[in-house]
Amino acid sequence: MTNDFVIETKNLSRLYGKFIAVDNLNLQIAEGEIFGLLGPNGAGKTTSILMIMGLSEPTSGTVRVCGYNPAREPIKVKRVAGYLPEKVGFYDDLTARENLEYTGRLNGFQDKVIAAKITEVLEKVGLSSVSDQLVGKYSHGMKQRLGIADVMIKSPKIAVFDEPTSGIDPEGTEQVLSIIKDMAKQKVTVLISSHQLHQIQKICTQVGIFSKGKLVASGSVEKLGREAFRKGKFNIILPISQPTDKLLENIKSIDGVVDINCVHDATVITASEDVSKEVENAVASTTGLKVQMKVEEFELEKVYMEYFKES
Amino acid sequence: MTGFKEVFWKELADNFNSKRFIILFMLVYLAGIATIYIAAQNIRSSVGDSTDFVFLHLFIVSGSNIPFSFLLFLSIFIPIVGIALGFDAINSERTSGNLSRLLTQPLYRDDVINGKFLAGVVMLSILIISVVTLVAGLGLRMIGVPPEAEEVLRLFVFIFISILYGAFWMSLSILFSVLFRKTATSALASIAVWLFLFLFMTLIAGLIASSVIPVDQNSTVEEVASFDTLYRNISRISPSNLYGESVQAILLPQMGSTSPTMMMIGIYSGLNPAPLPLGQSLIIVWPQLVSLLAITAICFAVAYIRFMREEIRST
Amino acid sequence: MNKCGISIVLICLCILSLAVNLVMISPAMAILSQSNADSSPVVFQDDAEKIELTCQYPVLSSYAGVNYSWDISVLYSGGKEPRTFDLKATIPEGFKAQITPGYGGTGGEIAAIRLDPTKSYPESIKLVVVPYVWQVPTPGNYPISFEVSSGDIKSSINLTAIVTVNYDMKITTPDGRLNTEATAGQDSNFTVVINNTGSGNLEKVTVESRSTNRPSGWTVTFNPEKIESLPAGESKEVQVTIRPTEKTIAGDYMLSVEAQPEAKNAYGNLQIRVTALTPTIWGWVGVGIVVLVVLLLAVMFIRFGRR
Repeated sequence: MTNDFVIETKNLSRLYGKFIAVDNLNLQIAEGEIFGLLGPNGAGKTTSILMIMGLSEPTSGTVRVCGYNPAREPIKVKRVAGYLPEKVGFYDDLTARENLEYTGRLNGFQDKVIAAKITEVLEKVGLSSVSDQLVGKYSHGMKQRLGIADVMIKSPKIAVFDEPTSGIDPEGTEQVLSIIKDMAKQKVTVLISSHQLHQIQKICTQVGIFSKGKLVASGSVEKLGREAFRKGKFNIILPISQPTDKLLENIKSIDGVVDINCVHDATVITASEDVSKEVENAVASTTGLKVQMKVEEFELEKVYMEYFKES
Repeated sequence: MTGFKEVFWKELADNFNSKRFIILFMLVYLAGIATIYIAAQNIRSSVGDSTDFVFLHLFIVSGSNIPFSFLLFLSIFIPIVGIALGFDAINSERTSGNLSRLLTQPLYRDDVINGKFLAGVVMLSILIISVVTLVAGLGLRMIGVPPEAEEVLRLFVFIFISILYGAFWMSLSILFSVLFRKTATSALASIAVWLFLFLFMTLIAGLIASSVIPVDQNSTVEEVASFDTLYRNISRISPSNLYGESVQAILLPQMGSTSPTMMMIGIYSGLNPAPLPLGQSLIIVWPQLVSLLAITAICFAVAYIRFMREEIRST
Repeated sequence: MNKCGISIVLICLCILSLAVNLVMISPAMAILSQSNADSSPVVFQDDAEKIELTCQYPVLSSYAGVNYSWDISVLYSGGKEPRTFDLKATIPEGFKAQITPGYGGTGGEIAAIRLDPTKSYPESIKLVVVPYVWQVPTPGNYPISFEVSSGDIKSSINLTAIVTVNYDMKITTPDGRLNTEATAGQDSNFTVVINNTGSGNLEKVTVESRSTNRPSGWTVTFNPEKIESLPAGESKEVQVTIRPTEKTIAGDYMLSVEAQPEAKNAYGNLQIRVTALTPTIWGWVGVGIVVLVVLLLAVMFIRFGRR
């Protein structure tokens, strides 16, 4: 059932000589999702995007975008997918409007349609007042927003943004993120690659974490957290270095506790809920001690760090 | 098809708008007018008593003090224009970050390179046709001898060969623009190749040929002829020699051979260099034309294949 | 030793040349003194005053237009006092005489001469007879007499100027202009004048422009091509029709016109600078092409360029 997923990759690999940039990537993105690709620089995010957009050929494996193979039917893919590259550029000697006109014409729209669309998207990205300025005079943030306008001009089903917020000030970042969020409301599937976790967390419904060419985890932010902390949303750190078997058993029997781990001087309890009260009772009843517990609720950053600790 | 058309018109508009081409156009027109002025001053002594193909002489006559004919000037400017048209075709799009954006629009990747190439050829054609026509008009005004039908036909062939020659340099520089990431590198590489082929190839050909077949005053005609054949064949590696030979045969119908030495030998042995009909002149230069076309196609094909298989990263 | 020898030889040479000079000069001195001695007895014998005129070459022959010049010696003898003599030359019509001192003098013409009878050597007078430039004398003998007189003493000498036949011709143009214009492929007229500047008649004069003396491919025709007879001093206009070839390149060309009588005893030629014009239509077509190209380029720049 490929039609369920707007973007789907199967065993997708890309090798540069002996270097594996993307290793057996299996990615499935459903319609209307905002999918965040997370990973450090050089993890293979951009390469994956290039293969999805048909700008690079996979060494092996397949990509399907709305059911089309970007390597075989590039035009069909490019008609439905818009792409904002990491270092987007425009023709500096043309105005914003002229740049967008060119994109519109390349998409085969009528001149009237193009003019209306340009006005609309420039309004959306907040560049209406400078639409007749040469792009050469634009700031980086303005160019980035113009890039988003450039994606929106073709009314894509899929929008792919590669590091859309890199190098922009916080205010600009806010603007960019809210524009992207708006797009998603229009049933546009969005794929964002970034290493700025907070932003991804803010807007993404699904996240995939990349490390050394591998997708080490994917799913909703919550699911990831659970996976990272062995299915627990909360970590309760018990400062007991050598818990007795009785204690462990008691704690295990608490509803919601998923896992217990003993690290050098503490016992870490992973739970799906905040079970600190129950744990405290268990400890008290078993050992008669009152302990100070530390409860950690996970953050994406933690999840992320967790994955890179492993790899 | 839409993509190809749009890229083509965009490139054409870019060319017409860029200062680079306005300067180049002006330069070519001024130089053309200057050479034709010199030619008109000197055409009488050059033509002598012959009244054959007087109009064509306008394009080959040079001044007695300034050895600079329209033909020579054109053979220098065409490569420059061709290189200027192609050297930043792909890599400037890449470095400006436009390429990834452009290639994710619904157009085939070859539309970009084809559109750019065709826009360049159109640009070259506009430049060459306009400068030749302009100069022909001025020449007509100055010498007052109208061209005959065959002369006009020969001028058309001349224009065609010149465009082909420019297309070669353009496809070579487009190849470099695909191969090299920096526009400065591709520009320098193109100019270096041009200078080498234009200036040094004849020298090298002479050196090699004379070391294989030494010729002096006592040499027999056969020896001179075989030296000349070898020399010509080596120098034909350079497209500028291919161009020079073919254009000379077209504009000087008396040339029964592409080799001046062979012409001299022919004249000494009693051959009368009567003007050849256009068909015969074309047959003489046919190999040169085919070679020019072939190297142009090869350069473009290599650029095309490289570009098609390339990964387009924005950084 | 050597130096000594050379100087001795030099001295000897000097003495020798001196001696030779003396030997050569002394007879001349002797002759001079002798003639002085001879003349004085004549003066004293006759005691009659007289004037003698002598001319070494009394008959001169030349063709018309050239000056005849005689050197005449005048010797006055027998008188006691210097006397002034009038000089007069009788010349045929159409000539002009000029009398000047034989040697030096003031440079002007003289009409009288003062002679000293005690001087035993003759004075020299030059008589130059010039035909008027505008009136070429017909060939023949022209007697000229030269008379010296003072009161009753007079003497005259008869001289003859023989005018021989002279054949000469010149080609000129009626207004002196030596250039003309001609349009490629079209006839253009130009007039030259054949002048008989000699004193003899020229018969069957052919006017032509040889192919080596005109731009190739040009046709040059003359009307008339042949002048049956051109008497001395007369001239005749000849119409030259110049037709440059169709493919003539605009510019200046030299054209040479020659004339020669059948007897080939005279020859005249004239270089004409012909400015070849090209039919104005081609000039306009050329301008039209240039304008068209410029317009098309402008249209292209407006149409294809932005803004």
